[in-house]
Amino acid sequence: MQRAWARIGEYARREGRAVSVEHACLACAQAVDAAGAGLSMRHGAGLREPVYATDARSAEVADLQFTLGEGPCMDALAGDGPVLVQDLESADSRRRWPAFAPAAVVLGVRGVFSIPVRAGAVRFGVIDLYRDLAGPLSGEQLLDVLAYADALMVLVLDHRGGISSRLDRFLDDEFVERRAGVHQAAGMVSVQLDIDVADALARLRAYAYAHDRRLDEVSASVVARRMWFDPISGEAHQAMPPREIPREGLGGGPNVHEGETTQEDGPLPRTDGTGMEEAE
Amino acid sequence: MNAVQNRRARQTFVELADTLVDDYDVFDFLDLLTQRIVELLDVTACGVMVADHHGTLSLLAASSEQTRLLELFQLQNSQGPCLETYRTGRSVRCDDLTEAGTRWPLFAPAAIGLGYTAVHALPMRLRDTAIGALNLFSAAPGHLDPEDVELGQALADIATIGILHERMIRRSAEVNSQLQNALNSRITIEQAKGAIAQRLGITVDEAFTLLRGHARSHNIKITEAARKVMDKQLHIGRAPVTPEPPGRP
Repeated sequence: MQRAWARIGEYARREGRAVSVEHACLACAQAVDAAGAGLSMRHGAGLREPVYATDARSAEVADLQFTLGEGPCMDALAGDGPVLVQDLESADSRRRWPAFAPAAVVLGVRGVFSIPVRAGAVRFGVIDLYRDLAGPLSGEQLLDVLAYADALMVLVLDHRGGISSRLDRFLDDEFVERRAGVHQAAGMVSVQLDIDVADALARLRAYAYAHDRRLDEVSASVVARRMWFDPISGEAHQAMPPREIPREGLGGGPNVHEGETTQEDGPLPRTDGTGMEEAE
Repeated sequence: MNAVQNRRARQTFVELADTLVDDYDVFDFLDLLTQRIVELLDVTACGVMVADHHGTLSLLAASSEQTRLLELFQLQNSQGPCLETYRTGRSVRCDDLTEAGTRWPLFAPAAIGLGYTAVHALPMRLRDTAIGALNLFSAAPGHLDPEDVELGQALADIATIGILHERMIRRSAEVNSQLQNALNSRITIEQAKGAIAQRLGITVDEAFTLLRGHARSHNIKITEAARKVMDKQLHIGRAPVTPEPPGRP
């Protein structure tokens, strides 16, 4: 993962810009000997579109899949995992994508590897890697691509959360993303704020970033209900929350805003010390 | 192994083979497997850990979803028997964790704190490649006898087959792809646990029990139920509360 971020950083430095999904796509294509890469994203309910390609032909191949409504990228978007196609000229590929496979071959593409950018119910999109020659992706190369897909995930999340991406933060986060508590917290915040779980994860990351705290620490506070997000103001509270979804009317309580005095561990007190009772 | 154990082991393998039909859910399979392992090997708890694409061990399934137990598994991505087994490809055991404070300064006290005294980790391998470890915890000190270790290893091998889905996987890219799918499903379950816990004002442990109970009583996959919860297609209510499955069949 560190290697992936280092390469993405190099591309960004060369351009003198902040790291972005474009740099991640370029670095990923290079890392696995692909001629090009394309990124396709979901927007809201079911709407999907190609958003970036490393070169003109990759853009064309990505567009082709959307125009024809078929291809490895479409399958990866709809399905549950990576779609690895070593040869678009194989009988299997032609059967699976009768319009796309021959059309892509005409454009000079033989291998396509489509990897979802996702974390559970957070499904942002798919990165496609295009190769001129037929042949499999090695196990090592797939691991590389999965690391880049994780990097893309973080970049998209931070873009949503309004954070400008800083490389040193990412290195810290790589193991954290896999932690159960982070995803439990995202699920909880999605209900607290009635938002998509992707946005909830983005909010958690943005909060951790703004308060210079680790994402897993912030998540643990949310899961332990030492912290919650206000559905009206959208702000985070560090007071003892009600046990149920905060309702209007509770908002007037003397909630402590983002105080750093978290009640560490121990059994959950039944009241918050400010006299605010827990909701039944 | 006595005659009763022997019969139950046979029954378990038949049951597991029956589960491995087309379109089964890895989590339903592992849920059943972890319950059976605890019964058959007479251990207190067990968990299945696999390596993700960063080489970090992550928990896929456990005999209990108790949060503190899950944390104990998670701790092993930095130290502990699972990490050693994953790295060496060999089984690791400790008969008395009270003497393992130097070997595992974080893991040993954490395990003891949860009431475990002995631990085993058995390798999960596909041919020559290590993919993870099966972790067994016992409240009593001591170790499994060789026959039980053999049975445990057979169950670890079944876990590997179940996770990788296909028995004819040839390329390592496909193995990695399957592992990633399984770990990703686990993330969906964690998100759903959080969402249900928040909606009902309960703990994430209780939320999992409800989620599993709903999936079972409606005959759908746990992963599918979790996905539906996250897509707001399924609302899981508080009652009726499905009790934890009994310890024996």
